This record gives sequence, C-alpha cells and structure tokens, in this order.
Amino acid sequence: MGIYYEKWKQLMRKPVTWLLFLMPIAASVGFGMLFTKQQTELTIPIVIVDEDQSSTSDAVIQGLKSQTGLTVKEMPASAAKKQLLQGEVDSVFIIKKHFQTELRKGKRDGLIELWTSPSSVAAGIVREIAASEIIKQTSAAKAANKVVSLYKQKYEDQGERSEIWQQAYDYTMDQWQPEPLMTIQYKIGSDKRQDTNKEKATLLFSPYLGLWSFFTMLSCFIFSDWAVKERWTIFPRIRASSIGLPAYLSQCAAAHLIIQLIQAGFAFVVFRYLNVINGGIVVFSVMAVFVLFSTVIGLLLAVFHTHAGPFYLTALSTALLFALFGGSFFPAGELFSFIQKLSEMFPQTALAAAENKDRLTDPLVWESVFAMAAVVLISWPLIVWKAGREYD
Amino acid sequence: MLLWLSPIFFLFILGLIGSEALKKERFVDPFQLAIVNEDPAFETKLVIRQLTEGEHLTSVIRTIEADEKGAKRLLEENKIAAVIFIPNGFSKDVARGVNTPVTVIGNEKRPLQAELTRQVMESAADFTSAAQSGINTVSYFMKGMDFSQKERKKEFKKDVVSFSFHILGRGSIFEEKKQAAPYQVHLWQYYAVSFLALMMMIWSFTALFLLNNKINKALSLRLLSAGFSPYHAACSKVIFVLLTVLVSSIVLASMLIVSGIVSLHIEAGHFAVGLTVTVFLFTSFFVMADALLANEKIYLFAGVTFLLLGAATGGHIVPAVYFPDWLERLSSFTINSWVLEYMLLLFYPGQDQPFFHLSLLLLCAACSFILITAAVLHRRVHERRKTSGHLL
Repeated sequence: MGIYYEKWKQLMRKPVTWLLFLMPIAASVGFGMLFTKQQTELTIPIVIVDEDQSSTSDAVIQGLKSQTGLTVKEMPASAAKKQLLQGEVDSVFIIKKHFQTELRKGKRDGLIELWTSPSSVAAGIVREIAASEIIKQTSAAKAANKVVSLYKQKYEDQGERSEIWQQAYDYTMDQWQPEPLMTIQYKIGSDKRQDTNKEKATLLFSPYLGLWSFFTMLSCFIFSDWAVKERWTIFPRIRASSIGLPAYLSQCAAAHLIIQLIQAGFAFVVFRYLNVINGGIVVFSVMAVFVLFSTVIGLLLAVFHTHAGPFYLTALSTALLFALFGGSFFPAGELFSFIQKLSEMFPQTALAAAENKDRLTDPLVWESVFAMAAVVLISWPLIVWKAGREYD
Repeated sequence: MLLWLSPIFFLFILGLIGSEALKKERFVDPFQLAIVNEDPAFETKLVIRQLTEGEHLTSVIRTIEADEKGAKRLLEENKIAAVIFIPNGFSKDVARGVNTPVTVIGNEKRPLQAELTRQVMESAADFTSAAQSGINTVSYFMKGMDFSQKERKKEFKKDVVSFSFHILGRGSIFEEKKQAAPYQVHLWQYYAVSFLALMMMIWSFTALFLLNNKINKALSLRLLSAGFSPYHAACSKVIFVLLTVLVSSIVLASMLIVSGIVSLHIEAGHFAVGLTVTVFLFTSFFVMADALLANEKIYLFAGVTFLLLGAATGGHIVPAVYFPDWLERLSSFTINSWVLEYMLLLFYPGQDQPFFHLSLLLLCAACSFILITAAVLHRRVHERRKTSGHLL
C-alpha cells in the first residue's frame, strides 16, 4: 500500500490534479446549463405582414405572439423579404387584404401567403401553430354562418342577422375559456412520475449526466498518461523490484481511481443539489462503475502508446467516439435507428437508464454494468501483459 | 499520419449520419404510437384521424390501435414511443363543453420521440377543440331555435363530418411561396460550410498539439541555448500549423466543391485569401492559448472546452438566429460566429456585405492574438532570466 499513499500524495501536490477534480463537474454544470437554456429558450424568428389591419388579423397575431417558442416581428412586406433572404428570419406570413371579410364568408383558401427560403428550418412547425390560431377563428365563423343559415331556414327570414352571427361567434370563442375543450395530460413512463414541472416537460433530453460522462472519461484517459511516461523509465525498475509490476500498476491506478470516485460523488451531490438529475444511490453506483471502466480503458490505451502526444489525441478521439455513439451530447440511438443497437452497447446507456428507472434490476442497467465489469476484467491482464513487455 | 487523419474519420462518420438524415429529409426515424380508444364515437375518431391522415405526420408516425394492457406491454418492451389514452365518456364530456384531458404516456427510453408525440397531440387537441366548439355552438343554437331532436341529430352528424374536413384541410389556408436570392444558402450548404469551419478549428488545435509534443524539453532547451528565442519558436509554430492546416482545408474545401455540396461564386484568389485568413485566425488563437496555459493537459482540456463552446454558441449546430436574445449577444463574441459568417460569405457572397472589410477585421483579431502571445512570452523570458541567470 506504500506506493498507493506515495502516488496519492504526489498527485495531491500537483495543481493539475485539482483541474482533474474540478473540470468534469464545472464543465458538465456549465455546459449543462447552457444546453438546457438553449433547448428551452430556442425561438423561431418569424415576420408577420398584416395587410388586412382588422380585428381578426390582430387576434391571430396576438395569439402567435403569446406562443413561447416564437419571436414575432411585424413589418412591411419589402423589409420582410430582405430579412428572409438574409436568413435573419425563418419565414414570413402575409395576412392578405380582406382576410376578415373572406374568413367571415367561410372562405379561407390562400388567405395567408407563406414565404419560405431554402434555409428555412421551422416553417412546418410555425405553419401548424399559425393554422391552429386561424382555425380557431374559421371554426367560429363557420359555426356562426351555419347558425345564421339555419335561422334563415327555420324562420324564412332573409335579413342580415349580424347580431345572431356575432352571438354564435362569441359563443364559440367563449368555449376556449377557461381552457380548451380538449387538452393533453402528459406523463412519462410508469404512472408514478407524473410531469408537473413545466420546465422539465419541455426538455427533450437532460444533458448533465451525458456531459459528465464525457468529461470524466476524458479526464480519466488524459490522466492515465503516467503509464506512458513511466513506461521506459520506471516500469523496468519496478519489474526488477520485489513489489512487482502488477501490484505497482494496480496501486497507482487505485490512487487515480479514488480521486475520480470522489469527483463522481461530488458531481452527484452537486447535480442533486441543483435538482438537475433524477434517481438516487443507483445512479451513483453506475457512475462509480463508469469511472472504474474509464480508468481501466485509459490505462489500456496508455500501455499501447510510447509517446504522450499521440496518446493524448487517441484518448481525445476515443472519448469523443464514446460520447457520440453513447449519446452523451444528444440521444444518438433515437435519431437514427441503425445506430440504436450500437448505441445500447455503450456504457452511457446505463447512466441514462439508471437515471430514468432508478433501479438496478432494469435489464438496460444491469446488462450494461455487467458489460463494463467484463471489459474491465478482460482489460486488466492485457494491461499487465503489455506493460511488462520490454520491447515493443 | 494516422492521427492527422482521425478527424477525417470522424468527419466520415458524421457525414454518413448527416447524409442519412438529409436523404430522408427528416431527423427522426418513423416511430409507432399506440392508441387506446375506450370511447368509440365520432369525436374520438376525429382525434385519431388527425394523427393518421395528416400528410406530414404519416411520414413520421405510424399508429396502431390497442387495448390498455397491450399498449402498456408495448411500452415496456420499448416498441412504441408513446401511448395515447382516450378515456371513456370523452365524447360526451366534450359535447357538454366539459374539458376531459386525453392522457399521453411517453416512453422514457425515447425522450425525443415522446416529446414529438406530445407536441403533435397538443396541436391535435387544439384543432379538435376548434372543431368541437363549432359543433357545440350549432347544436346549442338549434336547441334555442326549437329544432326537433331528430333534426338536431341529423345536423350534428353532418357537422362532425364537415368540421373534421374543415380542420383536416387547414393546409389550404396557406399559399406557400419560395423566395430565393441569387446566392441563397440552402440548409445543407450552411451545415457543410459550418462543418468545414469546425474542421479547420479542430485541425489547428490538434496540429499545434502534435507539434508541441514533437519538440520535447531537451530539444527546446538546446534550441534556446543556441539563440533560438521563444518568439522564433512561436513564429515557426504559427507557420507550420498554418501551412499544414491550410493544405488540409484546401483539400477538404475542394472535395466539398467538386462533389457539388457547396458551390463557389467568387474568384479563386479571394477564396484562397479567405481560407488563409480563417486558418491564421484559428492558429493564432490556439498559439495564444498555448502560450497562456503553458501545460499540455490544461491546453488540451481548455481546447476541448473552447471547441465545444464554439460549436454550441457559434451557430455550428443551430444557426444563431434561432437563439434567444442573450445567447445571440454572447454568440457575437465568439470567434466561431465571425468565422462562420466569413466562410458563408466566401461561398455565398451577399450583395451588401463587404468581403475585404471582414477579412481585415479577422486579420486584426488574429494580430491581437499574436500580440498577446508575444507579451506573454516576453514576460516569461524576463522571469526566467531573473530566476536562472544561465541558459538565456
């Protein structure tokens, strides 16, 4: 154990160790907040050109302005076109003249001109949102027209009857208060965790654990560089000593592992404190297994390198590869079914599943934990064997 | 050499993923939803038709009808993205103007698809509310006008059909017009240019890193004692990185142009100047970071952080116009956003954006990075001279 304590002391003296400690936590919290804010506050910039200037067109514009995901600007058509072509807005909606009168007559085809450019991304989404505001109006108008025509049919009256029209229109619009007739109650997964938090509900994907896994893996990898640097200077001497290389390797690795485990514990506490992850002790256990996995893989990469520079780059590439396919940055498997199976084999799956399910018995969790443990057990003899070779 | 090409390997994987996504013209693979309908009535069919008949939905969503048990089982087995549960008595409540929420249970293993389902269902709920409020109005006023029960029932059936067609045909409200400028940037072109810029950044970062590791301490001390000052070292680093990255970038850019993904609208001379300026900016930035940080591990971590930050806030992933205000302001301070704007200008010149003006601006930025580097090196040389009289 002497080596372990020495290594530990040696590590704690270096300021870089504190970087290793703080980096994954700070980076995952910082980037996590950025990504979360980006996700929830992303807005689609659109322009509305109101050529009708009527109460109905105003109601539609107000309805669109109240939508959280849109930034609505009003301007004349020529300015709107310029902004669209410069890519400053996603799409332009032009409410044509006589919008209100046509709508009240029950006509609606082509009442709104929608301008898109080849770089429009979200025109389809905005179109649906705009349609729902307009359909609200057209349905009310349609119902009012129907009521008036039924009235005329019943009483054989040929007058204008605009007061009945208005009554029916108001009656329809009143049905939207206090809430629409049909709403959605959204739940995630099993019934126990009902979604009450509005902010969490709009979040596609919680980035914190994923980011943590990337930065921790990178940190574990980079700090395995001692195995590269000591390869030709210290390893041969250790081999000749009474302790033996396997014991030296395991104690040095343990010193690094302990620091990373403390880091993981710290990160877990911070995440819980900020209330950005779900789950309890199971999540932490999976995080711990992930740290062990990363440390061993880092060592494995290290013993196969003779120079530090290429080792760092291999480490970075490997960590990126894990992050991309494991879904650290975005749910990769879900976007493309052809990499879903592949994605499930990466250890990050266990973290995500543990956060969702919070129990070890879930197959996604234990299978992945088991796989990580298996990789560790297979890698270790390989590391000892490779580190013990005198020549490459 | 292998490591130099490893970013291209990533490029290839990402390109594969990207092209797959573009080919399908959507970002999510089609997924299945289960509908549990406990209330088979006109109204509920209306809701279901919303999901099964909208043209832009059927390409993404397949619906299957199931009973409660079957749907829960499918959810457990991760076969479907969500279950839509229409409760018994739904249609009666809605007809009486009472809000009865439809429950949507999302699959926690597919957060993205579940969220999409939620959004689709919310808009379906809005449209259904619109139709239903119209239907309710007609039947309410018919009651007031003393129509017989039989007549009301007949009209009600007609209304359900006509209002559901009304909301299904909502697409006809819009008359879509595509607007395009002479050199309009398509979305995939935007991403191709953005990717080229990001690759230049990654290459500058890795090239400098590899170079630093080639010059070990012993060599640099020997060079220093031979009168080779740190300024010379920094200059030669800049030149080496500039040349290597420039050659790689030109190869990559010509590949993009030859394959027809992006097209070149300006003279080759301007193009060469533009690429050189961009690479120079990145190189000087990383040389500055290298001089400031003076430790390879810290440089590596900081570089990765900068790359991620640049990619996230500079508009490489989501164009900056979709950012909320605070982020858009933040984004305008990142070199990534300047470079991206500049590169887009290189490939797709706008009418009123000055190319040379921006080139000069970027050159100034690069020069200030170089000046900072020089200042840092100057101080370090000074300190070293004070502490250890020999060597320098």
